[in-house]
Amino acid sequence: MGAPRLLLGAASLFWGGLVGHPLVGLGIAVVVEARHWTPVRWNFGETAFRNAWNASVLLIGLAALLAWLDGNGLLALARTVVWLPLLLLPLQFVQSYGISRSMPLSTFSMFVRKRKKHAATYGLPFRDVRFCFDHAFLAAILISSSIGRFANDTPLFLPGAAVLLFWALSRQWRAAGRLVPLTALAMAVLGIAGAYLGERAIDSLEDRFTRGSRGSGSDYMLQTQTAIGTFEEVKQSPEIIWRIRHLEGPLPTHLRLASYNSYRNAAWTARRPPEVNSISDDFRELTLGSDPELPVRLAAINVDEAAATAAGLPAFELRGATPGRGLLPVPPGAGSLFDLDADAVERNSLGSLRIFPKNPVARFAVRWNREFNTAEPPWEDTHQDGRPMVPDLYVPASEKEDIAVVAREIGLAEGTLAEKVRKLRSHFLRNFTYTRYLDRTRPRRGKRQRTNFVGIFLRETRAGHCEYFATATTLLLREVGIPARYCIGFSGGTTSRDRKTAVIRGTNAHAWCTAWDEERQRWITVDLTPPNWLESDRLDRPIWQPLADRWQILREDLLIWRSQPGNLAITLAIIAVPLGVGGYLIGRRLWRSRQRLDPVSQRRRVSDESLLTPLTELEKPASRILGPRPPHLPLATWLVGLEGHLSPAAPLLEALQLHERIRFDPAPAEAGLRERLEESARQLLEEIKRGPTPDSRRK
Amino acid sequence: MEPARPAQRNKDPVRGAFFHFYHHGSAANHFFRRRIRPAGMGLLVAGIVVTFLAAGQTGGRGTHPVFQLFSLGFSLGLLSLAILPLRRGRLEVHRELPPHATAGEPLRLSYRVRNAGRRRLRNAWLCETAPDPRPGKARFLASREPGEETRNAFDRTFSYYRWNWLCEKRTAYDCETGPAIDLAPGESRTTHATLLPRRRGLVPLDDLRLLLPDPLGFFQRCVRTPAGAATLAVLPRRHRLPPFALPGSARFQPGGDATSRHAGPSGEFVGLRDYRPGDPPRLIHWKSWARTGRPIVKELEDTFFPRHGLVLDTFPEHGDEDLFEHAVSVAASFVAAVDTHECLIDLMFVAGREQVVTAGRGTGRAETLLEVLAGVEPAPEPAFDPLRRLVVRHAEDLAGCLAIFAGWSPDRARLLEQLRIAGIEVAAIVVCQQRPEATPPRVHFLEASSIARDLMNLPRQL
Repeated sequence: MGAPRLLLGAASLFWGGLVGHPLVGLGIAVVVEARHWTPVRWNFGETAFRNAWNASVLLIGLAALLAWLDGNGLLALARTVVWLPLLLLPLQFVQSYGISRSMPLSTFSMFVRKRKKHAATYGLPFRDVRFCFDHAFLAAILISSSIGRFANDTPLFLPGAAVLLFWALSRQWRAAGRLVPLTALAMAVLGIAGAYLGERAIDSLEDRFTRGSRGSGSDYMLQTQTAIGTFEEVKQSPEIIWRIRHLEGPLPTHLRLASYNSYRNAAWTARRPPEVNSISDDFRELTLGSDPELPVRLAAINVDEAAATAAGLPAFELRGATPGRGLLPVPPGAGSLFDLDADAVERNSLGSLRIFPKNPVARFAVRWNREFNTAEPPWEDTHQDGRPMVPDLYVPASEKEDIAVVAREIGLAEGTLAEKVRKLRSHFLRNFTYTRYLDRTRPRRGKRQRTNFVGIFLRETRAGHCEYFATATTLLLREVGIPARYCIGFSGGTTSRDRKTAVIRGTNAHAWCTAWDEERQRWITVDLTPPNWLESDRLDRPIWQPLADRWQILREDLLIWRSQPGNLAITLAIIAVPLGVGGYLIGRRLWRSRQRLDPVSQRRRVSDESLLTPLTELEKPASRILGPRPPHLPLATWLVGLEGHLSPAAPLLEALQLHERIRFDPAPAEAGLRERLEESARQLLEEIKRGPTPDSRRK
Repeated sequence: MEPARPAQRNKDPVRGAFFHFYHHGSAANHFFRRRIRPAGMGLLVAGIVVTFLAAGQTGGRGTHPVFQLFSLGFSLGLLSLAILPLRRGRLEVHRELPPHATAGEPLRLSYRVRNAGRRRLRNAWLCETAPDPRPGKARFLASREPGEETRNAFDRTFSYYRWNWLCEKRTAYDCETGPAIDLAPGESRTTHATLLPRRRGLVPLDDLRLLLPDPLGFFQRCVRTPAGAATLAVLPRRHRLPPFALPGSARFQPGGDATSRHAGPSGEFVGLRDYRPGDPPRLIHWKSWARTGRPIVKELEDTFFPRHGLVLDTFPEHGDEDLFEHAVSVAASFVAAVDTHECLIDLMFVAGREQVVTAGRGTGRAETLLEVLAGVEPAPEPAFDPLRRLVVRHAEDLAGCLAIFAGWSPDRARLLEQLRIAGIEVAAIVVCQQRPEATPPRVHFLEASSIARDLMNLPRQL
């Protein structure tokens, strides 16, 4: 049994609206529903079904490859699933326009085909399961709609999906009486309520078990907060994240992704200036350069364009995958970005740069200078109780005691900034150990452990990784009046032999402190993690890593090439031409092999009065008693079989005679003949509905 | 049974372990497949897909349609299961069985049903449950699926295909439900289901189920409904045959009262003679009596009926049991095709003891032979000599013989030769896996994979 009329068309339109391609949805709807209005059919056999499946598999593979090349990684699967209705259209076409209303399961499975062949070879029994593809197509539409671009933004998804689902199930209620559809409707309402509740439950479970583990996989979160320990997960990855190509001058030692200025309970957040209303308001677009021929974005604060783009400045090129609205790694003294193809690049008050990319892989160049600032100087703010404070000097009360003791022990209060930094560096080198192999990457969950995390590190454990050192440095400098911030990003990297390129991997992720030099009015990098961290972090890479690296580089370079003007057309041509040729060949073959619906079945739909009489209406109810009418048996002859099942008073014979006269008597029919037959047919129908007589039961 | 080779013996403990897995797995599969409808299967498959998709969703904000879809499907499935116990029905059912069915041909079973419950029963169907087709462990280990040697080592070790083949082979019938039942309390009606017998023999019908789906159609209850045990005789599958002439000329058999439905001679008019006491009055020629003054009767030609032997080989080689089934089908095809009004057929085979069953004018109907063929089983040991003796004993009465063999071997060739030496005109039809290169005269080979086609290619003169 296929899907009800118009269901698949409505579902296709639903899908088109939710994925943002309404015209494609309309096209699919027209293709699948046109079968109801055209008599054209094809006698598709098993080979045609298999070819359609192979075509769908090919399209799915191609779509997945394109999505993956686009830099979507594992999300390539989701991107492919979104297009399932279009990719499965060949199968639905052969189902809709084939003479057979079902297709065998062996279409999809090589194993089933092998079994079938084996059975045929040896004359063994074999049962081929057949099913109608309409419902599978509907399921694909609903699933792909759920991950459509606009599905999240509309409250209509669930009601729409529920309506389509129940429309599909409604066919079985035809003969089921009133109670069944009403019960089903009640179940539908409960089901929808359950769907909303279930969604909330899953959401909260997901939130509970994955909180704090998002790391740099979710750049959106990193723009405003990071928990101690999350960066460790990034460090595990040997994958290439960015590639550097040297252009001019030295390469920077640190590339910053984000800065944070507010610390509490083992987590850093970005606290915005008091005059900024929201996080999104804090991000402002970088100023564009004045030369429209040279796309330049000015990153440094209080530096004019000429200085920021001066030819003698150190420069390098970066290439890497850019997640949507993701953070860009730039040196703290970045002056200008050029050759960056993006919809927008924004910077917040703490100097974090985020990109709205046009392409999945970015390539851009950076000019920089240690003297530049991309971050605002320290600003004044107020506590909740109204007392003034400077966020970059604030040490939380829970850590204050331990921080003060250590600062006193080191003698940090005296000396210039450089001397303070020297003392701290010496203290860490002498008394602390760098290690990533703690028994846990995050501070213990106990209240005391998290609130007193830095104190425990400074006075008890004296071992940890870069985030510990960076956090401790920041708080210690704040304690002695130096405004300081916490930064995350990358440091190190594998440089090539000719020192012209470098590769930054996940293992190069790093955290450090940045301190405000009041004298020179700029932020300086203070990285006090023991230098042996670079060797410690060289993880054994898997044996296939070089191959994976080459593949990643090839993919990224291909994507960059594709995004160049003119190259996109070549790419489209490479894909479109074979598809077009294939489509033409298939279309031509279909055109030549088309058939029209059997004229007999068409004749049945003719409502010519000479062919139909009121007795024709009895065929369906009578078939419940007599079974289906054999094709070769005339209606009247077949209805004679009712004789034993109806009461003797039933006007069966009279009705049959009237039917024969109307159908075959060449003489004009008497007046009232048809009405008499209608009356007899009505009585017979009532008899049939009442059921067989006791006499017929005894037979 | 062939002794297992060392490599196979080593695999038997492994197969033995798999047997238990398949045995219980099949039971679970059968249980769930009867209770999960196609919509429910679709819901489960879609649920798995959506689960994988949902696992890939990152959280953070807003609604998650994937989660909604998953929850919707889960909720509906749960509701369907919850409402299922409320679906009840009590019926009194009486089966109306035909005298027999034919393997491979659908049979319409009628049921007179009465709603013995207090509520109207709607949206329900009746369905017969075939007997358990699972083989025993010994049979599973000893059997070899035809063509098993061509499978790869993995398949041969796991032997899942063997299990599947045995279950398919032993499945008695498939049942398709008829129209939905709609009965008020106390109301009676006739409904039907369609049975497709898959193999010949006596099929028990002792497990009738009432299917009660939930309102959404995902799952259904499968309630046992008493209808009395019954047995259906399923005749062997029959194939179409081209026009043919059985071996042997029409040797005359004494006709007359013993073997004919007509009293006395019934052939062509030969002449007139004087009446003899005992002549039937209908043969009196009244005009001649009137002319001569004494009773004169018409003399008609005696009719004679050829007697053909149909020899069935009931000694298939080990592993050729399927060939035996095909041979029975071929024999049934000939029994059905031969006009037993004009001849006699002696079905001869050895099954424990020597058996001869005759059908023809006045002796028995062709259905009798078909019923015998429905129940014939292969003999445990070859007995070609007793078979030869049986046929030779009837040689005088037979016009010719058609032997139907399940496989070809020197023993069978020798049997044919011996029958020919005994003066019997014999032809053979051999059902085999693969046609041999050289075929002896009057021996026709049919491949098991194309029986119907090869039968249609038989020559007219067998």
